[in-house]
Amino acid sequence: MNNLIRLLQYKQLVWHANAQPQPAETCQSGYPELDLHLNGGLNRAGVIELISDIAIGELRLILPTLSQVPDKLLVLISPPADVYGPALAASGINLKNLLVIRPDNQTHALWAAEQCLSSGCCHSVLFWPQAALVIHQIKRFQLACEKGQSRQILFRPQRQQGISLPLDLSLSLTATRSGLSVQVNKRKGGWPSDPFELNMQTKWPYLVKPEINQNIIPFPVANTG
Amino acid sequence: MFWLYLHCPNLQLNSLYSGCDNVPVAIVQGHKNTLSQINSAAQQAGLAVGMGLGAACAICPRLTVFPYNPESEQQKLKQLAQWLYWVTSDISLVPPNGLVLRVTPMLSLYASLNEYWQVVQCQLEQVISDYHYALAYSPQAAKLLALHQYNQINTDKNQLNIQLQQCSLDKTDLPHKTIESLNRVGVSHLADLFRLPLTELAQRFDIDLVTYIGRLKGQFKTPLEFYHPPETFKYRLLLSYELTDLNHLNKPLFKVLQLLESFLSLRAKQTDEIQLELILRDAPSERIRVGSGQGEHKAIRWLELCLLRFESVTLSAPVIEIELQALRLIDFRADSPDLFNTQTGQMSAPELVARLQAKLGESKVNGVEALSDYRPEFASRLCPPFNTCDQTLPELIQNRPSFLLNRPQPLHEQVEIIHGPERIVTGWWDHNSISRDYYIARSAAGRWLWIFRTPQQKWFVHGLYS
Repeated sequence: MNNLIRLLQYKQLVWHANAQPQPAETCQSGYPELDLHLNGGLNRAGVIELISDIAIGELRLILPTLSQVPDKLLVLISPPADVYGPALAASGINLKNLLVIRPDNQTHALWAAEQCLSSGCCHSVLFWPQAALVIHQIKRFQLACEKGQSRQILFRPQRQQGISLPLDLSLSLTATRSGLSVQVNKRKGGWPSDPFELNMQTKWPYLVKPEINQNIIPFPVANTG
Repeated sequence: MFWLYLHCPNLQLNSLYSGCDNVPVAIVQGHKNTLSQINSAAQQAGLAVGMGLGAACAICPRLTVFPYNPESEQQKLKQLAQWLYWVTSDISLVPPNGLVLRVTPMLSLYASLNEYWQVVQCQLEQVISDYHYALAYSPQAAKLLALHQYNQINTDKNQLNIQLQQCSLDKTDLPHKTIESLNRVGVSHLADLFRLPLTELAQRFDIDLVTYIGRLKGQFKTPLEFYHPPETFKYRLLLSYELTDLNHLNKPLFKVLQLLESFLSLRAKQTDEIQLELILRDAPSERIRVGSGQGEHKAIRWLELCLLRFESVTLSAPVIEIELQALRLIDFRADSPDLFNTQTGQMSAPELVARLQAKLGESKVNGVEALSDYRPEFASRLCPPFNTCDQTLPELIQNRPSFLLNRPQPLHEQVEIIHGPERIVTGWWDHNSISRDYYIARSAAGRWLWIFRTPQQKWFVHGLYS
């Protein structure tokens, strides 16, 4: 009998009333609408997945959070293009605490990510994986995040079908006129949400498509052939 | 004045690294082809020093044989002196395998002679197992007694004299010719020489003998050159077997790294780069440099870094010997981790970078710096981690993309221009002049691009507003 209970406990099939899940520590994302839907903001430690196309504003979504921790490292692993220093410096990131790692292959990239996460001297690791990740890799990231009190942010082009990865948070992003449309796919200790509009105009005023007033008729342009 | 002599008959044998002690090993003197040093396993197998190689192999077929190498023995003697220097100061080398220690000045640091000897012995036994020793009133006397395997710490002058007089002339430093001529007149032991006073000796024999006896008795001074340790760490370890897999190198390497650690911690130093030379059989040796950003002295950390570095090393031939060298010594800097921080992952940023660079390669881990230049290509560049220079950026440069393409790509999709143009015409002074009109554009799929138009009306994508 005892063995059976232990087995069930081992398989995590027994629910303990005293083991109430602690609400994850969060920090404000800088976007009030997002904080509202995420119950306070982005997780301070854990694995976060952002599913989006490149260059629609996926990095801008998290930049305000990333500039909040001044004395720890921010690590970018295999970013899609060269990191442009002046832009990151302008958005409040201290370039002295920035590391860019370009490993030769995915295995090295995974190793580097795990090392950075568990080191305790990085606050966030931004990782653009080249190939799909599997459950045990995410679990290793989870443990590393816990050990180093750090946050892993994965950028992926599409959601992996069929398997449910043990992520702390998964957001799907699509572009809109004034920012992003965000959908919470998965949240630890919360429910998925419907897509909601996120206005990024206040933070990035020059990256907004202006409304076209329908009552203005454009001046006819002569065909120059 | 007390002098201590250490005689190490198996010096080269002791400097071999062998994983287990039950393999019989012998060092063979080249030109005579006789065994000169044997280990305990070989002794048990029935071998003895001075035996011919043929006879030895007949008795013990699984004997491992190494040629006698005076150079490596000399080096080992220096290492031994360096090792002993931590507990005693005046050391003189007596090649090929002896050390003289001046004991009396050290006694003011140690409580007693016995305590001094225990400390020396402890230190000695960490690196060498076979040695003979003797204490006497002169270096020569101590040497002679040690060669006769006296192995006692005795300060009684009379007893020492009795012991000395029993010594035969064969093991003295006298030239062979003199010993033979003395033997012919019936003098075979020191006792016969001691019976005559020095002046009498001087009348009958040549000056060399008189000097020697005078030094032996302590009446003349023996000129000695004392050892001064070098301020760098270099250690060579001969492996008693060949290694093809670098992962098996960790045990012998750790032994050397521990020596490095004690070397560094004694001097309150640390090193930020070590060089490991793998001497290969029949192939040029392989040099591996391992660096650690902030400097490190702990053996276990260096081992970790070395093992990471080994992953990218392929051997062309088996390793037979390793040499470790600390390239630079820097002052020890203690970092103070937060006492109340309960976090379990405790690594400093330079440590992390050292580890990443050891495995991935130094060029793969970089920092980013922003420079004051209007040309986008020159406004940002990779730099060694944490070396970002502080440059004030022009106020104008604000709405820049977070990612810049390595080289501009031709624009293929339909985009809508939201902002622009921003004309950048500059760089005429260094042959990288540009003339471009930059626009912020949004593609139909909602991607924000930084595009430019050349004077030839060609459109390129240069940046991504991620």
